[in-house]
Amino acid sequence: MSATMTRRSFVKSTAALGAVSALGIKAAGDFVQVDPAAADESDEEVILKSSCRACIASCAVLVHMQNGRVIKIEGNPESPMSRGGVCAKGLSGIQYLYNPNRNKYPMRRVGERGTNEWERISWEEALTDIATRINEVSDKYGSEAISVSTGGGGNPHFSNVKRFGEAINTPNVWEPGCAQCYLPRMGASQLTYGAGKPNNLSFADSNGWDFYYTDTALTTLVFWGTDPSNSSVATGGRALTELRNRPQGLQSIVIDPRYTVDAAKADVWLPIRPGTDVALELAWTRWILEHERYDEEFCKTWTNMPYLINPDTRLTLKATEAGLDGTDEDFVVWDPKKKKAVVVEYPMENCDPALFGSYKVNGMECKTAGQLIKENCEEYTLEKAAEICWLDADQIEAALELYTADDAQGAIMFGVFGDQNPQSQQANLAALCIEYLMGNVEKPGTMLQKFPGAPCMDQLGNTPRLLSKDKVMKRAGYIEHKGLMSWDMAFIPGILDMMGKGDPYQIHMWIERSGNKHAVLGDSTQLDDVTPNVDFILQIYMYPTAFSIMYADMLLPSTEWLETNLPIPQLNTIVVRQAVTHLFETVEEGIIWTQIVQKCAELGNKHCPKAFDAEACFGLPLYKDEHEKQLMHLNELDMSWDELCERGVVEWISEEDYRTYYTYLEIDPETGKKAGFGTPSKKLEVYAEANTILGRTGFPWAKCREEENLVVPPASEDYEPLAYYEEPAESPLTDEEYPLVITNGRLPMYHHGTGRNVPWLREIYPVPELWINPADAETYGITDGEWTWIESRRDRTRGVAKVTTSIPQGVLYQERFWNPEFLDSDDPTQAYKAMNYNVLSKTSPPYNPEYGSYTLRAFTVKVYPCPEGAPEGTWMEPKDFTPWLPVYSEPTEDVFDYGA
Amino acid sequence: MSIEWSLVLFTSIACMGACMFAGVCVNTFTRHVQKPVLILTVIAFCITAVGGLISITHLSHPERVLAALNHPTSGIFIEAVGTALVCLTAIIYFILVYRKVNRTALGIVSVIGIALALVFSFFCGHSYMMSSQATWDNLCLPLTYASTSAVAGFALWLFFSHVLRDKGHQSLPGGEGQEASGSEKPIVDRVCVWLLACFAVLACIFALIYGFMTGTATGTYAVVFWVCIIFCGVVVPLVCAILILADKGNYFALTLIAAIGAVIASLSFRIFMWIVGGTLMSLFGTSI
Amino acid sequence: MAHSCLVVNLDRCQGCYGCEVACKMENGVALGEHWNKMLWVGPFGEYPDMTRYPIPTHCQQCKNAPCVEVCPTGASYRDPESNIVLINQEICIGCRYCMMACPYGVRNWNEEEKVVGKCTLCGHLTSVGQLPACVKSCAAGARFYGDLDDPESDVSKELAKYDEADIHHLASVGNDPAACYIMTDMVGEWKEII
Repeated sequence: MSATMTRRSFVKSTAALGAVSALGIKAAGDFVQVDPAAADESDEEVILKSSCRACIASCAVLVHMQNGRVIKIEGNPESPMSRGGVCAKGLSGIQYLYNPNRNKYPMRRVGERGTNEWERISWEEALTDIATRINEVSDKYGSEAISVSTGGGGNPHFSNVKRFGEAINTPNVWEPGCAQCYLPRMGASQLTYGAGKPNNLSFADSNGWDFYYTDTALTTLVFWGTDPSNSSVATGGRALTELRNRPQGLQSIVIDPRYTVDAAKADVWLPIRPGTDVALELAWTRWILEHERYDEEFCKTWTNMPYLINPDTRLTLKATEAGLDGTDEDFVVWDPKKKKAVVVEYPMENCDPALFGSYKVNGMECKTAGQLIKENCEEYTLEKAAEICWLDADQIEAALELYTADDAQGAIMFGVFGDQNPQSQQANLAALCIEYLMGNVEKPGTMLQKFPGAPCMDQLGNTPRLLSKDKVMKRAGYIEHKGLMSWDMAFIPGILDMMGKGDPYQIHMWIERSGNKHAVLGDSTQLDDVTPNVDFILQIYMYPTAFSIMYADMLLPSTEWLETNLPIPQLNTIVVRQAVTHLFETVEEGIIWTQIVQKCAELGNKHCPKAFDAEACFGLPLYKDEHEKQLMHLNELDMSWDELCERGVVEWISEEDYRTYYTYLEIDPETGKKAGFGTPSKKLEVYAEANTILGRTGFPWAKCREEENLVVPPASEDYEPLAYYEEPAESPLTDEEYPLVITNGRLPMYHHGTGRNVPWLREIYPVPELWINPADAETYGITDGEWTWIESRRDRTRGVAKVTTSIPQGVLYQERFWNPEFLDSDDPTQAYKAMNYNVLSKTSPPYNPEYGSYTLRAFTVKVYPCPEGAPEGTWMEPKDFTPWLPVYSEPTEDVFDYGA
Repeated sequence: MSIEWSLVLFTSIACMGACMFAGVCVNTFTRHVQKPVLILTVIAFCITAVGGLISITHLSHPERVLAALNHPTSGIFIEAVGTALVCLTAIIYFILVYRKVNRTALGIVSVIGIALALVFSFFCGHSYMMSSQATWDNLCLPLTYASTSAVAGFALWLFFSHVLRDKGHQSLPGGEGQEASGSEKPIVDRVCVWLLACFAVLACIFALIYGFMTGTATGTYAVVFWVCIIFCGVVVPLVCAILILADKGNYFALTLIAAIGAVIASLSFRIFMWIVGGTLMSLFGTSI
Repeated sequence: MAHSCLVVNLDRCQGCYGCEVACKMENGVALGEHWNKMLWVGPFGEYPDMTRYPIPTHCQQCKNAPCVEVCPTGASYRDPESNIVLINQEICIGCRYCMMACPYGVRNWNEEEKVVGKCTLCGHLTSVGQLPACVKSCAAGARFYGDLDDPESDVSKELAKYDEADIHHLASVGNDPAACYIMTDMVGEWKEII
């Protein structure tokens, strides 16, 4: 609660300590509650402004309170992003908050893992236990033997978990998204655009800001594997709805195996075979070059397309290598008029360079980057792409005509699918390359923009230079998958080997902050084999999940979004998330992290105190308490926290000043020339040599305490500067045993693994649908509405068949799922086995070279009827979810001191 | 739609009770045989009343039923009033016979009784004629309600009046009829048998028109239509009637079989109405 | 006479189910029960000419409401002031004839109270100048509430933007639904019967 942040006392609750009980359905009412804070006596309804976190869209909401209880949630029309809309998930906030199975207190496991017996302990005891173990493991095995993980669901705070890992000196921080979600899109952009955090082609992750204004110049939008109607319902989805309903409408092309709502409203739908997008992107590139639809001027001046490439280094040819006047940081192009190579006068003052061709320079045959791009995609005619991608060549061309029309302002938004298989970097590089060729950068109506950042911060960044070189080199996958350095995170299959096999060293402790790794990790039942060798597993989350029951040794209760404070930048406003209540002994994630670090320091850990030292961090130190946290997040916003909460949505800049285009044309005061882009060449890298350099050296992301730019040994093979298509390792073209290819994708009522315990959401979609084309249904004997087995090389699971033409022949779709109702049953493993897509997916090689992305989508399966149906005890009828209906509880004092 | 048993039982039982009373009333004019009309009137009354009471079990808030007075043109109101009027008429008839009141009065009440039975049975079906219900919105629905009820009612009259023939004779005003005796050939109430046959034919016509106009005669539940309604409710009573009129077969057995067949058909047609029923759209995925 | 109803613009609707939950929260509708429900139409047609769309459904505020005609107690009634079809749950006897009579099956049997319930156009909100819950929080801005006979109402203003041909109603069997659905060829071909 914002208004009266008085001094709070640390709760040393001793009531019911030691009482043993089970989690899950039976948990409600088992534990004694902490004495409530002074309750609001009046019946008056109070409305507080906040921001939802049922997903990342963070829609502004109005929270109605009465007698200290949340009684209603609705949208706040003041936000320019959500305009008063809220989706089913946000509207169900009350059911998330007051779910009777909330983790209420720190709990320690009693008996064996999997027996679901827990005793309540105090926060003091929990912190002491955890910190003692951290210090012991660090001393005995090295702090790298501690693995820290997070996830995208459940009110997470990404930068905090990384800070925590760095504070306790472990390099092994990871999350199931990362290389399989958003990092590739961000990384590819950072490397080739020189910006990416958060300026990239992901719309759902809150880019594409120009599209939230209905007067945007955008005319033609390519939804490449993205469905904002599902993935950012009230923000991105709404924005595009507004654009579609302008007088001029919105031309749209949807490239997606699913006939989503966005596809149904599109001008062209390309139902592409999962895993083949790079082939289509190369075909697009080829067509754009062939039909000369690229922006020639822009390409010549602002991309490295005309730059000559050194055939030996595979990087841009430098003046010194060309034997020309200049440094080893000057680039070389071919001047067709002068018929010779010339050194570039930035940005391209001295000539009209050739974009294509091969030229002899200083004894070397040097092609332009443009020539290499052209040759790279030469074989990908529309017909070839149509064959590979299972598409119609005419439809592909129709899409291209729309996107590249003279009077069109096009843009591509690129979904998470592209990050979820071994072609992740390639898919993203190719998409960016297309946008760069078209000149779709920082113009009115493009995805890629550099609008100014808000004065407040929702993410405080992390502190990678707290780790020594020695330490960071121990990170799983550090040498081989250098793309992970952008997020300072570890390679998951490497982590799993460390946990399961002790290869190359044993992970002894796992601190995990998320819901259910079973629902989202690839090949997730491998956790059964991996976790027994990890001595201690701590889970921080709001509810018990299958992970909790099967593996966790201790649970810490974290806050729901209605109990959390954070300012959220949204376009030219800031939307506040303020804690409207606090329940039981929950603690917000960031505070848990800092409390652990403080306790470690208190118990003698010599590294941890550095986390609070700005100099030692080379950046923002870790905050000690809620007050410091609020101040740091407020940052340069000239307003108190209370005032921000009062106002709810604050405009920090006018719309006009916010929508700033062509930042690369601004004059850089240091050079007196146009600023260009954030790459070393200041040009957009259509030829992504930054990718190659990354693989060889770790530049620009490798850093450690000793060095800001650490040079790291090269990966086993060069990272390629241009995208290439590789048929998926498990391919329906050749796989006789598993002939169908499967994918997954978003639903509007769930976010990742969350929401399956929310009655209003679960009754809408109680079990996962398996979309199957009628022709395949006939071939494999599958009936609409009937349970069906889906089997991959890893495992098998179930779904309810939906026979539909919304998915093309040869392709299946099913979204991730897990079943909380099994948690306190005789067989809790059913919670993650019964109908869980991710028991099918694949974490074995090949991996994406740059990020180590494994295969969550586009692998092969077979299907056959499941006459057994769902396992007994599956909840499917609306009334089944009655035990999860909200049980109001009174607000309680925050556990830890506010600090002011 | 799911079968609303309360309404099935209400409309079939109350209507066949009313039509059995119609049989009592017909006998007023034919005076074919001296019958234990008092007992038979009581039986008809009870059947009708039980049917009426069963209708209350359909309501979740029967305590509010007086609110039905708010909307006196609704189907439910008419059905309720109809049931009450039939029962009232039966009571009046009973009193008139018991007191041996004059023939004219009895005759008027009997005409009212017959008319009420048929009209009431018709309206029990009519209240389901709703434009939202494609398989109900047909005049032949209530006409089949009425005619199957008539067949059942007359069959019950024939059966009970034969079975209870020794239970007492009431001489009806205006003369005696033939004495019934236990051991001789049963005295056949030929007028009622003819009426039974005629209503069976009418039931056949109305049911067939209904079945083919709504498509239900050839739909998923066609078996129910042809076996339980047409066969049991038309063929069986008709054959029994023909045999009775031809002085063939055992009168007791034939009237019993005719009664069973007719009752099955009467129930079946109501059940059939529910299982083939459905609103134009069922957007919430639930039906009543 | 006023004709208040909901208008849903299907060119906008994103199929998010938010309106279902907003209504449940506002009106205390139980699990498994609905006062509004979102359905999917299609896909039908053959690639590339296919149609699939979400359609939220609710009481259509029929101008000749059969539910009012059949109700024996007048619990299902037309409010004399607002002309809105409503249910007085205190005199509902639970005979459910109104549910048989509703062509769309959009009336709900309240299992707990054993009476019939349905969309009330959130009269308790509109009477204090607010919008119905489903309209207020619609993520796509696709829902509108107001009086069709008032040219200044939200519904009239939204409808005015479209051709007659793009304004649809659910099929009528004489009940004449007031509620409208806007759908242009952005979405595809309108299906009369769902």
